[in-house]
Amino acid sequence: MMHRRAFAMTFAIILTGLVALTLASLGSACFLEARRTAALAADAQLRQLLLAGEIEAQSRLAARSLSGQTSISIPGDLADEATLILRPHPGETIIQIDATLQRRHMSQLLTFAQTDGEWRLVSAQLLY
Amino acid sequence: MIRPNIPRRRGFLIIEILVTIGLLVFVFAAAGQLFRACILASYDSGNAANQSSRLDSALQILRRDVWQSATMQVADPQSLELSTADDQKISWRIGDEAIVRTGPDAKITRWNGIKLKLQFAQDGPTLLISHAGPPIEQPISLVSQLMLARTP
Repeated sequence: MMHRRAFAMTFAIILTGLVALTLASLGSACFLEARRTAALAADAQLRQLLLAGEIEAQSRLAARSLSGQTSISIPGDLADEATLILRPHPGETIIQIDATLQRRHMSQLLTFAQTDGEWRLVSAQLLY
Repeated sequence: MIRPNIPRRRGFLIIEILVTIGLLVFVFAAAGQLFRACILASYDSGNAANQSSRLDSALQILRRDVWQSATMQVADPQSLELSTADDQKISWRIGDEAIVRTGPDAKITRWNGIKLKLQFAQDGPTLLISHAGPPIEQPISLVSQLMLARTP
């Protein structure tokens, strides 16, 4: 009786498995890259919000209108998904700015000093 | 003498064997190419992910340093000197396959295996990091909050 070794079938199955593994690996890499790109875009937007927060904080300090935690209204399409909050520390020379967008969050700590009646930013620290 | 009546099996023609060998060579060559491409694709995607993860880690620290810097000086496209508001010095250097940070306490941090030829450039309060070609087509901008606030 002749034994069929099914060499071609085994070879084809091995190759198909290898291709499937490679496709899965590439798919996973693509997914991670897409998620990373989305996170980087959100982070860039958060940094823009922090920069805007610094301008707002400085103008409120100059106008002496910063009292306690203040939420800044955000214009345009971002209004629904982003928040920007100024949190003055006691003494009002250190202000923490918190920005959130979707599920991401970024903060910065600003220290102001008054020279010649004008508030100036003396240090800025980005917090993650 | 009586010949036994055994049925004779027909053999293969030389042309049949040659065609079979030709087909086998073709199939094995294609399978070899496929195997090589699969292995290379897995290896390359792993390397790319590794490199981008290291670059992201370095950029996160660099972005934080630039954000708080009071002065920024790009002495040459591979070296950057930063100083903070309390006059602490931080330097960054782009080497052949590594990015190196020297902190205020002279602590050295290295990110090895970054094979990109990155270059520093300054545009006012913004540090630009560029690379000729993929994967970084456009310069990466890192802004200094302190310098931006002090810009009239």
